[in-house]
Amino acid sequence: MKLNFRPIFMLFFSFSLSSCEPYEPQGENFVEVAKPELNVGLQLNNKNPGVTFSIYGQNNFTISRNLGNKRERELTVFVDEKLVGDFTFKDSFSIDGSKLSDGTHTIKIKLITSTSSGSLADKLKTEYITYSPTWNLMVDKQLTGFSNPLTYTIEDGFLVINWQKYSGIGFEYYNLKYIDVYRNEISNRITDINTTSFKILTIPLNPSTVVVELAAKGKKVSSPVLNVAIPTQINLLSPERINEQEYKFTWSRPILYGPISQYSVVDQYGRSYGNTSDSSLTCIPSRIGQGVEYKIIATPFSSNSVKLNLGTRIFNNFSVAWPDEKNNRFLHYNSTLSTMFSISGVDVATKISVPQINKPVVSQDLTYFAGLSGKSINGKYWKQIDIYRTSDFIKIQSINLDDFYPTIYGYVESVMMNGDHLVFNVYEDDKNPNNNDKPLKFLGFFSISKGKKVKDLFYIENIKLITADAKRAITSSGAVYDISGISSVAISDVPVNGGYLPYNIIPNPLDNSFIGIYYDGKVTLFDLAPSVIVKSEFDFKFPNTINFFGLSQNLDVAGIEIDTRILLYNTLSNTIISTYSYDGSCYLYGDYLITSLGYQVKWR
Amino acid sequence: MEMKNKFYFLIGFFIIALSLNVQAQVTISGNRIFAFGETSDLDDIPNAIVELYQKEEIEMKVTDRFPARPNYEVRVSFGNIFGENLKLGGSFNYFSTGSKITYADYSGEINEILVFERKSFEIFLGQPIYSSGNRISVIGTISAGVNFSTVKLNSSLTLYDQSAEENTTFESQSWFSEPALEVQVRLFYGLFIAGTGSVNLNISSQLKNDSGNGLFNSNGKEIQMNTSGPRFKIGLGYTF
Repeated sequence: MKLNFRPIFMLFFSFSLSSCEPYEPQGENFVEVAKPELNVGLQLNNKNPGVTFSIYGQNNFTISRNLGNKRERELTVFVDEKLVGDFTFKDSFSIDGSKLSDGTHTIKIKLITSTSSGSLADKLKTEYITYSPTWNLMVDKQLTGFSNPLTYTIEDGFLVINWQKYSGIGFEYYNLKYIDVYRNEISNRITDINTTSFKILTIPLNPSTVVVELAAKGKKVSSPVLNVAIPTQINLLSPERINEQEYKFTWSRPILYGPISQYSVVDQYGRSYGNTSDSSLTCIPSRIGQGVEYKIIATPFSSNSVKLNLGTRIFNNFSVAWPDEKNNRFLHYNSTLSTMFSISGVDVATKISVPQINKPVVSQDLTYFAGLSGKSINGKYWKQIDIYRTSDFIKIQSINLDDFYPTIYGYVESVMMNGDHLVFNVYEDDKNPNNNDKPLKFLGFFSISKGKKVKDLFYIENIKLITADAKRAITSSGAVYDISGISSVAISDVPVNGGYLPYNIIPNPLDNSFIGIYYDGKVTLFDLAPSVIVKSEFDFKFPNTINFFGLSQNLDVAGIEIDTRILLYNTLSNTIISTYSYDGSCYLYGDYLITSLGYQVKWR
Repeated sequence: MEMKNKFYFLIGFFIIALSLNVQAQVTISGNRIFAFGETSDLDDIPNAIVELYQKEEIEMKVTDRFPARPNYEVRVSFGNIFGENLKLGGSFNYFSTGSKITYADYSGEINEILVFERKSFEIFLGQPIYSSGNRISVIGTISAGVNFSTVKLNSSLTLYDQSAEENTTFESQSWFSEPALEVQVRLFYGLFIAGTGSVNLNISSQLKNDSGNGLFNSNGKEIQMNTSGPRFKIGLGYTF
């Protein structure tokens, strides 16, 4: 058999080649990954984007970021779109305002972060978010004066300082200062720059000098000084004889820091000649011209309705007393707010000195005031509480810490009066020989009730001791000791291991409540009567109000002192809307938290 | 000339030279090969790639793992060359499979595509050892050949509107011998069906790229190509 095999081989090789196609692997693996969202927070000096900063010279800015789980990739700063520098992973930068022209500029921060979406591009570090918020920068190197004079008015017994809006740019707040004849200086920071008036709620002495100072970073502009002779006395203007029997008394309205419900005219024997809400009264006085002294008595509308700034003033038939904490003394003016007059119209105003006590407080019924005295062995701390009667300034009782805790090296701070209760804090003395190198510790606070057994004396029938483990002890009431004798409290019952006790307690004279402020920024509301009860505890917040306040949390080494600021927050935005200076003492009065500088914070 | 090309040239020359010998009895056949463990050596590669990406927290998935695919062989033999019954022949065998390791999401995708190809050439000698008339015959063969294995790795990355691609080829050559026993049942004229049992004895070799760098699995062990193992073939042929 003869065959031509070539076509057959061609056929075979063609078949072979046609089957030599490489395999194509198959399959998909698409993973659903959520696309990234822009939820980056960026603040300059704790201010959100859109805020205006005023600068003049060198100004430092602090960058704070809230990146969540995102990673920072790049952070650059631009002023007017010009690159200032790369501040990636850095927390601050400076801008020299002196090199910028006057007017408005912009700070733009370009922040590039990873998306952290978990996508392929994110994992390969090629997917990122760019966030470019801006802030305004106001530069005013020319010092614009505050040329408009201050004026004042008296509204409802309050002194109101008025001014015209400052025309310059680049300031953050007004600082209103007033100075009394004793050179006591009281300042109010007014953060609303559109404000053109301020009602002074603290006690301006007579006369006061008022200065409005515009404060801003880098410069100060002060207004012309306003001297105010504050009419704190009732001035009899016209004892006018209407007819043979009737006299018409006309007087000026004094500043009483609240509405006045009525005026009455009485004589030195206490006989009343009528009441009026006006500033004049026509009556038939007896023995006119017989040397009988008359006085006009102004009665505040209601002590509960008057928004007193300190909660410690006494309205006791024309007597007024208040603590002068700066100089650790107690000031008392008798008849300051009244005019003793005879028909001949002689004014009488007498200043009376009272014992030198420290951190004075006044009881709710105005009957007592108390303060600290008696230095500890090392001369550093107060060991004794002195209680006085306000009517005659006679010391009725002294309570010395050594009397009932002789073996405790403690000292007294923050004495408070609240109704029938005297409340004070006790700290461990740092000179405790057994505790030389340890920081100060809080021992507890004590509430002493005015007992019924001994009239007019503060009888110590309950010592409410809150242990260092205060959170547990207060809520469980396990640390409230009811004792019949002081000596029955054993030293071992007083824990000294520090913890969560309030470093400060603030009583409310109106409703038996007080708040405790803890080291860690927590604020707790207590009800003091009949026993210590926790009403609620807030973490820097008071619910159901628009605003709440808290204290800044900077602690010193000892863990006791806090930074001297009160922060007022807006609960809706959780942002700070005002910052108040805080000098270590503040007071509750009704719905207001009031510092000794006169700031009021409505806290509920 | 590379070794593989030299071998192609020799095989072609051999077949053409034999086909010109019109005295030779020519048989052509095609077989479907059933082999065991042909690609077991490659299974480590997708696992190594998955582990590599896991270090970058990318969860790659093996969507195709060297599936078993039809493996065909073409054989040509020449009888009556050296003796009445002795057969001399050659065969060509091509096999391809592959694997895909992939990940994709809204931002892009990564694909690691492995394509495996093997071309085998062998020369065999056959001696009928049993014959039942003209219908059934049993032929013993012994062969020697060479495998040309290639693994092509195509790596591609696409992120949004940008993409990149890289190709790497790993190759190996390995010699083998395969004693076999073939049973042919003649149907009519020269047409027959055949069943073959054999054992492939392969000297394995490592897959290496052009630079001589070999493939290793995640444990650092060399990835070798080895086709050793029992084989069964079934096919159809024609003797002219």
